[in-house]
Amino acid sequence: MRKPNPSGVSRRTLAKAGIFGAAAAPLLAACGNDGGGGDDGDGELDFWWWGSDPRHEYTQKIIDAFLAKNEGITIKPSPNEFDAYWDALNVSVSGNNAPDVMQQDDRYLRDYADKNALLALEDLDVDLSNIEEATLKTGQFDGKTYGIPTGVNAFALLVNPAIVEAAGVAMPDDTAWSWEDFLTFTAAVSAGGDAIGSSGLSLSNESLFNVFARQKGESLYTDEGTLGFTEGTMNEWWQLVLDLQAAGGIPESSQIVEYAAAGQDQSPLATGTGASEFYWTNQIGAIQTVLGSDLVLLRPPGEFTGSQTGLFLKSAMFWSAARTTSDKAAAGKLIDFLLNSDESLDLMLGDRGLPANIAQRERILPQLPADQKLGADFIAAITPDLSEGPAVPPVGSGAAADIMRGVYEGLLFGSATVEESTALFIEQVNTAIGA
Amino acid sequence: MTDNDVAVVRPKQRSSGPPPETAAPAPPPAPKQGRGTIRTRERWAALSFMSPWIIGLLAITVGPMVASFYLSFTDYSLGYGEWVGGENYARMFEDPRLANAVQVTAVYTFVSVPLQLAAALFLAIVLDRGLRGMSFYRSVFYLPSLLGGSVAIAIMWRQIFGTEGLVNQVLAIFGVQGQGWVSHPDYALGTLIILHVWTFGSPMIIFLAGLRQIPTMYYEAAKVDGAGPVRRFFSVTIPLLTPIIFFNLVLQIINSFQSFTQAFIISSGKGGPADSTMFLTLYLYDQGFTQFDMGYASAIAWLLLAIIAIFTALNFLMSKFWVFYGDND
Amino acid sequence: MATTTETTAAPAAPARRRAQRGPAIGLKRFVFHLALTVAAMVMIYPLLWMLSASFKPIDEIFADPGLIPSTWVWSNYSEGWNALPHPFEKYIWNSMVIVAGSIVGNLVSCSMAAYAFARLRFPLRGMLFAVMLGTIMLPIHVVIIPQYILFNNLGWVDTFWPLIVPKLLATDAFFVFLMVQFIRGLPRELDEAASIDGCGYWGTYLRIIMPLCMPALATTAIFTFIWTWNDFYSQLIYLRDVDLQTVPLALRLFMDSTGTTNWGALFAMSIVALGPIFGFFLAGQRYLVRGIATTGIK
Repeated sequence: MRKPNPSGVSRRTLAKAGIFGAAAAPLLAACGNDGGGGDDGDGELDFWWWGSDPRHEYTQKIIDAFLAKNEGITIKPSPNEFDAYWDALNVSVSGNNAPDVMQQDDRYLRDYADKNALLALEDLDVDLSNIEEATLKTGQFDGKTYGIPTGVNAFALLVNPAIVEAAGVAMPDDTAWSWEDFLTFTAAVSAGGDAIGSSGLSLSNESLFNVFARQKGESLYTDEGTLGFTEGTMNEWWQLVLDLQAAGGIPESSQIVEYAAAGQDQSPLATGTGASEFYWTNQIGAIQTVLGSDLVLLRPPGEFTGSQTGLFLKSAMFWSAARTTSDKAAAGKLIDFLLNSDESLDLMLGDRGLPANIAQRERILPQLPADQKLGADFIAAITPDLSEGPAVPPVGSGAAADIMRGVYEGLLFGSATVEESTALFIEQVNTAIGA
Repeated sequence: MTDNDVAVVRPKQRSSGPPPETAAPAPPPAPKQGRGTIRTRERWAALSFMSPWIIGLLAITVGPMVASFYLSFTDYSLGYGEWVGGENYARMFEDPRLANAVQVTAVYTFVSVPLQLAAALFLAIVLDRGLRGMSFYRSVFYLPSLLGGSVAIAIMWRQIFGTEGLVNQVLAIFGVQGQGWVSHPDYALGTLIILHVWTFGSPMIIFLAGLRQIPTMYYEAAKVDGAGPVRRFFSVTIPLLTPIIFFNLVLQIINSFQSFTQAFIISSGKGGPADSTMFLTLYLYDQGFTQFDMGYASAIAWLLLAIIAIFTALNFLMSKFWVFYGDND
Repeated sequence: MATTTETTAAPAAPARRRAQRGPAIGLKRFVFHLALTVAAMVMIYPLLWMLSASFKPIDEIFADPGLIPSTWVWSNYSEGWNALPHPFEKYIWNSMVIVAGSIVGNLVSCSMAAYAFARLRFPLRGMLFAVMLGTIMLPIHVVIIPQYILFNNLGWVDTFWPLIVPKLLATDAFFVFLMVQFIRGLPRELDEAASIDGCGYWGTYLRIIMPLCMPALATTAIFTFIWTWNDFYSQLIYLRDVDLQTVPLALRLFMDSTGTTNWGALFAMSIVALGPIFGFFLAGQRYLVRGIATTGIK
């Protein structure tokens, strides 16, 4: 496992190697900066986030509100698209020019924290009193907080009621159904019309598999940072995929791959050619917009037929600060404002997940637009039944999503059996997380 | 084709050695003939013409290249790295995904580049006429290259080669049950090769520019000697176009070895299905930016450079046998 | 290929003559245009799709493969123009500044280096040429971090300089090599004639080589325009400030792969963004065709 190396030793090692002259000197300068920001900062903040145009618009308004209240601070905002955001962030962190305040994601937070790019937020003056311990824990790493959750999401099965009805199939009871019922349901919907029962896209999602494993009292990762499920459980999962396909509940292999490449807005559910798919609750709005009609949210199958419920609340995204920020105090003020102020939440509403700040969540609930209301109601409904939250994923686990997708494709195209797929997944993830 | 006809043209375009009666600026075979100062003057002139490039090389290009070479011997990641010696290079030999990526990239390059250049040359010649409407066609044929890696192209490609796409609809007329071509591991690369051939706009434009530069006197000379259109094509057009054909060949090979955006059309840049479109640069990007292993990514980049350099060198060696320059250099 | 070369190899004049010969030729020409038109349809389809998508309501863009929108949503354009932190003309202006600098840079610096490589003799020429080609063999992703550190130390991040200065210093080896090939295709007698007329190296470069290289220069200008206009990656890295963002960066701001993508506005602005490059291509390609084939050589 790679360790952060703030000591500057590496710089000397590098210099001793002496292969290169002036060319790499700036590179080393970047390696050696362990300074971090001074306490008397310059009041200039680079603030980065990803999203699409509505988010850019209201975030700019939040910034304006913040600046009106905080004289002497200037902000250079930089909106981006998700994939582009990570390219730019990687380069700027490597180049010792990281944004002071940034949006972070579950998938990369620990990598950035592990590489010593983020500030431990305990040092900042941010009010965390209204955020639940379990929620805060998702942004912690080695006992320190590197990201504060903006809001929470949950996995839900989004169902197009019109298609189900047209197929002459009854809507399942989501407080009682099993994965076998899911198979029967999707197969019946497929058989009853032109639309496919489910699109098979999220069966390669490691978070959904985590739900499945948790229902059996296992989990994707343990608290010790190792894999936490048995081979038998994953074998069952892959077998379920094959059974679903054989029963006609999900499309044939190459179509699944096509849909996966096409993205969320061109998936069968969004184009009205599929009846159901699992998504995070913050994705409802986008899909309903493209579909042009309303969806129904169901709990995943197996929630009440296994040894415990598998659902959990995931932090939608995090606020983080760079270790190298030029003004810690200002960065702390901005994060606090984003997280706790009425001005901020009135504009943000549920766009960055159902607010992590419980008091604000209660306050804005009545203002939520219909699609966010749907997600909020779903989260409210499942909350009483939730089991203890999953372990924080280990460093390197960001690769698990791609690994699982690769293994899934191999299974679909018959290049690996159920058992081989499980072995492949375990081997590759273990390599990635250094277990 | 008689030797006579060929002779009419070839000597002309090969005979750019200095005619004895002109005092040429220091031609290579006769260094002692001129005054020494001409040599020096030429060198100074060269330096002045080259100076922007030399400054750029030293200030901007070489530094990052050297640095990336250095990084390939470290475990550099998000600003930190320690010397690990040849570990990254040793690791390559035990990386089956890398071997697969090399193979995918090589197949893609060696199938698509000749096809694309043939299409580009053919259409350049077809469109290289003063006829009405040709500029319209030229623009239209260049459009796909103008759109670059746009979403529209990705969507269209799936509409054509998808499970319910155009290709399968046509096949269905003949009673053949098609499959999802873009999304099947055995065929996905094939559809990318077709896509590459389809975006022949850039080499086509370069061919067009090259065709425009062939001096008409050569055609006239050939005509005076009674050469027909076919002969003129093979003894004037093609030989005089060889420097441009060579340019396109070298650059297209370099470019396709570095293919990156194409894979986004089929797999959103994941190299799927089942790594069948995992290009080297895509794998390198995955290692460096998704898995934060910039040291290994740099090592892969230098492997890529070595491969490209070998093929480019071969290209240059072979060019001596088929490329004709007007300067006889 | 053999049959087509017969009709196509020679330049315009013979083709025109043959066209007057009779009905058989007329038919041939008809087939020729028909084939070109069919091929053109294949080439133009993605543009038509994008154009139609830019007028469609969002729930129709992916659900309905047809090209005619059920209702014409003109507001995609007005909405897209104003949906981002700046009105769209700001992004176009920023892109134009970078494009203009890049074109000037590439035309001047690359042609100078190319002239030296192609025509002048100096020590290490072969080696330097190989180095030049070598500079385009490394993928950008591994040199971008050291390069970023370099420009960051110069204080050039969040300025246009990292995007323009390299072009002024002929770092685009593609165009240097392209012009070398064109210049080497020119007969050396021309230089010699110029030399007799008293032209020095600069005179030869400016008065003989450059005019004769007009097709290559036009190609360089067109490609520089298009590639710079579409270049996403380096603009993403160096232009972080929302005030400096360019067209390709702006187009991405409509997208969110995990949330809401404003497809209608995205496609509408993509069409708008195509305007300048298509216009420049149309204007520039005239120079490709007119060239100097008839005027350059006496």
